[in-house]
Amino acid sequence: MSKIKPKEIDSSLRKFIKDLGYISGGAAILATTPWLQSFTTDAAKEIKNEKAKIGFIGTGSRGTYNIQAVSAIRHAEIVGLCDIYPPNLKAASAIVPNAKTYTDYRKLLESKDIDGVIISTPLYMHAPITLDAMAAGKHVYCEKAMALTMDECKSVYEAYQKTDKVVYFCMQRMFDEKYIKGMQMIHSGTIGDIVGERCHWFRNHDWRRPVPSPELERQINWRLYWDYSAGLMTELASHQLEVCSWAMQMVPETVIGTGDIVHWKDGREVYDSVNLVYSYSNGVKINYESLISNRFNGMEDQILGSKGTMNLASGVYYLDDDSIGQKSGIEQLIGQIGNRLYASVPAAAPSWRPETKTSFVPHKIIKGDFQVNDGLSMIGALKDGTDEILSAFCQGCITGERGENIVEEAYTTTMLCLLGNQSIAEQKKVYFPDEYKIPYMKFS
Amino acid sequence: MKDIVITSARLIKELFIFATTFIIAFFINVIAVFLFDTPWYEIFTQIGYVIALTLLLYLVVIIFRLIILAGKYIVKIIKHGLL
Repeated sequence: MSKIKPKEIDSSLRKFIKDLGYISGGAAILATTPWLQSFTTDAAKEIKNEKAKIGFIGTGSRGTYNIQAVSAIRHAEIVGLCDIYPPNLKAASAIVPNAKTYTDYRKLLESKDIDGVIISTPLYMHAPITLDAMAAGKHVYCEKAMALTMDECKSVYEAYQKTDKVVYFCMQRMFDEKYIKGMQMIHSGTIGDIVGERCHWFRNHDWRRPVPSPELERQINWRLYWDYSAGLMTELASHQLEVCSWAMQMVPETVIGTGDIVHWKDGREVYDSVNLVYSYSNGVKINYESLISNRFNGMEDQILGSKGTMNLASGVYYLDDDSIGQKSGIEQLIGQIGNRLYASVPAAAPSWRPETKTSFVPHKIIKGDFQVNDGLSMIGALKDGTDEILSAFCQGCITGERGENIVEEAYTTTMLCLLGNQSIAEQKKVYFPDEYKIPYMKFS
Repeated sequence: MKDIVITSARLIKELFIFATTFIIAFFINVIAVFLFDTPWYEIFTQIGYVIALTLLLYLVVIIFRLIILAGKYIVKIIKHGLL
């Protein structure tokens, strides 16, 4: 038995989905988020007394977070734990003392007591373990990104096409209420036509963990080395690029980028600073930037529309009209008089005047406090949909119902991340290769 | 030390000037509400701006009056051949 008491961690999202059924256009919304259709309150009732038997592969920081989340799910029971790093395995075992421990994931996969596995290992092991788990007949939930290379992505996608097992990748924003509601508003035209997308993730942290002995450096600080990780793109950008293509309902065709080690020159191989531009066929672009030596700008997913801007990460949106409506009549009058006094240019219109950032009245999408990663933790944001997607996976382990579009989104996003890294390495514009396109993707 | 005596006539005159500047400022706010099609409750909510504008106008009037007073004083000096 777990030491954590089960609770209704996903009731908020289930209620949200249920409420969609009562509102005008709710069915249309559900049609655009098909992965939620297997996550309804009614579906939960069907599995009332059943429990998915879950094995964990990888019990580090993210794995521990997942263990705690799954321990709190009524319809799940953790029966196996696997890690090659003894301190992590011991710590995880303390949370779930009754779970059997393994040091070889293949042995865990041989266990007939396990319905599904949750993989929270370094990136380079995602594809091999996912493929082995599918081959062993297990349902699979794997952390993002899908794989370290494009070929591995394709292998995983093809294996998924052939299996009838439930496969999830941790695309938790697909289960985050504020993102779902924000997307509904974007797709219903609240902010007008999408004219640009601007995402960034800034933090001021070296991404390092303490290493007890030098030979464990790459094993523990795996994020810093190309053989184990694809750096900022897969660790941070993957979530945000998924949001961008979800909003656009299209996949970018090209990417051009640059990346460097600007500040953390500590022997790492992966960039600590990346800037990329992804372009859609209609000319709309994603401007992506990530820097881990300055946290001023934080993390934002901005969808820029012709009538307003949706900042999905903070759950608020801004309408252009509100920048004018915020000022009273007398303020506008004084402003106009001031403009006439100081800004009259006889030869030209005042296009030379800089458009300094205007204050907008922010509108919250949904109530509640949203937390984003403070940059110090590697676990991720809290209340970000992770609990809900884990719950959905565990439900799928019982019902056998697959979450629609989740693998496809993970594949698309991982490909975009890896193409970004390729563009940086080759210092040129890279086109989405035809051989890696899948029917799910829309490019125009 | 000489006492400064403010007569009731002077007080009434100053209050009259101040009230006039307030009415002008208030009227400017009404025009602004009308011109920019903003809510009518701004007549009350923007009273701070109206008071600030009143003080500004009153200051302008004071400066104008001081200039006139100085002009009159100079004329008086020239007239009496005191220069």
